[in-house]
Amino acid sequence: MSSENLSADVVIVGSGVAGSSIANELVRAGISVIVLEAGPRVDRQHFVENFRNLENKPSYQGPFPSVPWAPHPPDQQTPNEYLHTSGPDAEAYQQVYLRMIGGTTWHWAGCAWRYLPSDFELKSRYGQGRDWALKYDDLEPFYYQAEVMMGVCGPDPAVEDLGSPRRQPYPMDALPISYAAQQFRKLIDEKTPWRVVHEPQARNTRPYANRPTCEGHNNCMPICPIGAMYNGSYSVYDAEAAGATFIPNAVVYKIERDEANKLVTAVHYLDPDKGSHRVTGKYFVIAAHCIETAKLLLVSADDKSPTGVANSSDQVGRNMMDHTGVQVTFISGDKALWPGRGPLETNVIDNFRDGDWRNERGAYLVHMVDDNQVDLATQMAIAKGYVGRELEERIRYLAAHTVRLFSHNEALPDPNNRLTLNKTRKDALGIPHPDVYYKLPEYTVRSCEHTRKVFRELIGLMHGTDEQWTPGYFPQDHPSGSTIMGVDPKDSVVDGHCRTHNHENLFIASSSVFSTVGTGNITLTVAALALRVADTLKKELNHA
Amino acid sequence: MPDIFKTFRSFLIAGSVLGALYGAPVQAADEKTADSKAAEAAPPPATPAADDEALLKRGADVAIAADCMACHTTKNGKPFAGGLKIATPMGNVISTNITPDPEHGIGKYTETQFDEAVRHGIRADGANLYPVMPYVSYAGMTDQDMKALYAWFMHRVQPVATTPPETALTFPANVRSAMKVWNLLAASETPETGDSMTFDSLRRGKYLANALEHCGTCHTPRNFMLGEKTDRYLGGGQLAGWYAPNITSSETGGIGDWSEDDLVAYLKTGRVHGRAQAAGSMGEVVSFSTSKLSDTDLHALAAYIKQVPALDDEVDHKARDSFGQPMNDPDIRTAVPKRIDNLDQMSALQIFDDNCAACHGRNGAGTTDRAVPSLFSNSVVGSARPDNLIMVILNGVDRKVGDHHAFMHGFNDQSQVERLSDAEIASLVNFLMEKFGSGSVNVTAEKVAEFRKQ
Repeated sequence: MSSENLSADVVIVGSGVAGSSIANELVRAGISVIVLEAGPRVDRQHFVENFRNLENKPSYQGPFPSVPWAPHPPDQQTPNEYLHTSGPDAEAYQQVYLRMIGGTTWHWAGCAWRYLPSDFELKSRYGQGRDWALKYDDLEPFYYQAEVMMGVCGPDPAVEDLGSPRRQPYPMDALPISYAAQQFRKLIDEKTPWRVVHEPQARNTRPYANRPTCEGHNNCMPICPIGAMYNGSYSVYDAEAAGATFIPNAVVYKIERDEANKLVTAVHYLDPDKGSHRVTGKYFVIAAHCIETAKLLLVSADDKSPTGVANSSDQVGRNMMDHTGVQVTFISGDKALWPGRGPLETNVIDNFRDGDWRNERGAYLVHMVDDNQVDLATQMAIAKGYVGRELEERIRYLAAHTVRLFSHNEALPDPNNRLTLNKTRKDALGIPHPDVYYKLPEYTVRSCEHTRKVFRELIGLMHGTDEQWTPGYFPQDHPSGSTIMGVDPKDSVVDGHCRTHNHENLFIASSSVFSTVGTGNITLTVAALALRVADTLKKELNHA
Repeated sequence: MPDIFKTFRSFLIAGSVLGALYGAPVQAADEKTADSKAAEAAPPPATPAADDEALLKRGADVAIAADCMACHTTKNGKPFAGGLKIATPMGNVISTNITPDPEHGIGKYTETQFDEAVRHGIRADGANLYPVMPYVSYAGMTDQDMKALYAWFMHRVQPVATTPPETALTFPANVRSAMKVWNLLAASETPETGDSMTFDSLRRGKYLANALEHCGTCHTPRNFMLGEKTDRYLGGGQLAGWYAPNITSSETGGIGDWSEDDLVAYLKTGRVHGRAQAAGSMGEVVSFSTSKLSDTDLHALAAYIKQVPALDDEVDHKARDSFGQPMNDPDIRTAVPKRIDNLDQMSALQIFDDNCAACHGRNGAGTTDRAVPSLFSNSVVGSARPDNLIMVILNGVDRKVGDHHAFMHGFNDQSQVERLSDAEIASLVNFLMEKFGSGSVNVTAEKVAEFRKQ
């Protein structure tokens, strides 16, 4: 045990968008903060360097190899070396994420959706899943705060209402739509009853927060080379500038409680040399990503809490959800689309995000991806035996005509979809790896079937050929539900303020608290919930 | 801002000595008392012509051409409310509120008092202004333009009821009356007379350059007493970090290879492809002032600058924008990502590739739409003085002209995007000058550290 005195008003585990934005808010309100991050601190240029060296450019985990003391999944393969999935849909739960200062938003597509009001009331409106222990209106001000913090661009609600009521306009104008998106919009407008909307994006459409305008490099995943897209690293910088302490390579392995098992008294972390350190505080926030948060609560099991900390409900690690979806690539028989202007995801068919049918099948949204298709086109042209000038022409044709569609389909919280600790595999520090059992809920299966039907219709409308369906289901890296929110301590882990039912000074800021998963990408909701946690903590600490 | 305070210190000491020698004891003005006395004694300002639209329009144009905005407005602050900090070795000079608010601004100034401040550097309470305020240049303004400027400030500037913090320099610079001695020794512009709008082109250009835009404040080097060296007019001056280059008509040391149209385009937009782009103080000059001048005035100003006598440069012996070509280096890619926690300093080529190439192109040619400039045929990279290249890498570019916002984030220790070390920036600067400029000058990490402190 080290003799250093590590203590702060609030101790946060995890430095991603949730942990760093809470740290920034608190420290600016005069509250002392220590943030413990399992992974290392790395700057953008080293990620860009790795990306440039990468042979397989679409491998968005590739430029971020993990360190032995804080492993993360190396890829979405099954099996992989860290996240072990099992069950009928094991491959559909191969989530990837990053353990390092700034967190997983180092690589994301920047999609910054608000959830719909109905997403918070799935049970009372449609008799499915659960209700959250908060309403859309409770979160609305924090959604806006998160949009300002991250720098979100989006459409004028008077022109394009995305279904989530707003009190303020988006901080930045929506991205100008690309040529490919214009063609796609035209088709949808003219030949279907659906619509294509601008996807709200945490991405600059003008210089914002001392970061430049997006230039369409189109490698948002794995790494924006110019900082036009939000990364958690900005909130880390902001929090540090205001006086927060971030400790990298600090792998928390134990949550210590008082005699009565009511209050958390400290967290303990290991450094890469296995030296143990104790950090005390008044409040504790676990903001360590859905999978690592549940893992930490479980590894903290002891005599007082034999099934894990904050786990009197036995729900920690259960109810694992994602936006498991469907993906298809095909060659349009219509005129050239020339996808690839970027950024990656800007256009969405949003007609299937809500409807009465949600009483029997899950909602979804459809992305028309604006990524560069030269890689795929080249593979296809070579496979078909083209050579010489014809090969070049074929690549050109295919790259201009390839369309990629994928969906985010809504899961439901099912206690059997569960994260547990692996009994034999451990990381370099001796901490068990996570296991996840996953079976896609029937509700989601029906949703995916509907999506496939819609995709086939779109392929027909575009006179498409050479369909390539991603086998099975497509993980979206939006894991959620592992410390589920609810009003009843018997069947949920946290309350509507993300405070654990069992320990009044322990909060969780992560998608792990989601009661249902809706359809929009999860990050903006994670950020909004985190800012709401910061608001609660400010009130309690400054008025104590 | 001109870095005149480097020598200001020695001058002030000399000034005190001079003051003593001449039996004129240097007094620290009791400014508070002086202020309140002035407030009591000053008669309400005579109402200048509030409805004289021609006069007010003239005043607005003069305020733009004299670029009052650049120093008297903070970033995101209210126009002319002051508060901009100008760092000096003896503390910050903080620009004042020059809105017509009677308590916090200059609302109680009479036309005469306003004139005394602008053209002679004397406040209404009698205290001397620091020559950061370019009154030696404004001394060249015509009576008519002064009158118009006063009318415009009084009637068209929104009063702001805030007082920026007082400038508090350390001794001896805090003795404002020491300026009296300096004023005796510094060369002021000779006042112009008549209607400046009727001047012939050359005279108008000279008037714009000297009395209003005060180009020489930055571009003319200063002598040991901090006066502008008249024999090195526009020959290049050192600022705080930035270097205001030689803009005489020398084809080797200045901008003799620029056409009048090039110069007009530069002053209007802040950029000329294949020549230069404005950042730092010059970026502000373009944003706030020259981009808003009429084409006639821009041509007059450019034509005047073009005929300024050529002065060779001590350092640059070939036109700064004449160097370099697209880079064509072999691929350095290994297909092997580094371990994530290996943060050893990378090679200069890698630093360039990972921090610059995304926008400026791997060959350094910039973008085809010219939104991002090429690194070759670029005065900043071509100059043998690395100053502006180091400064732009540290602090970036943030220049708004009309709807166009030229923005490059900096790489200093406040950057949100990437924070490069002194050694990394030194390595990068040497690489850029070698590949795209007039050759490396072996900038060291220590040198970068000095610029970082500016």
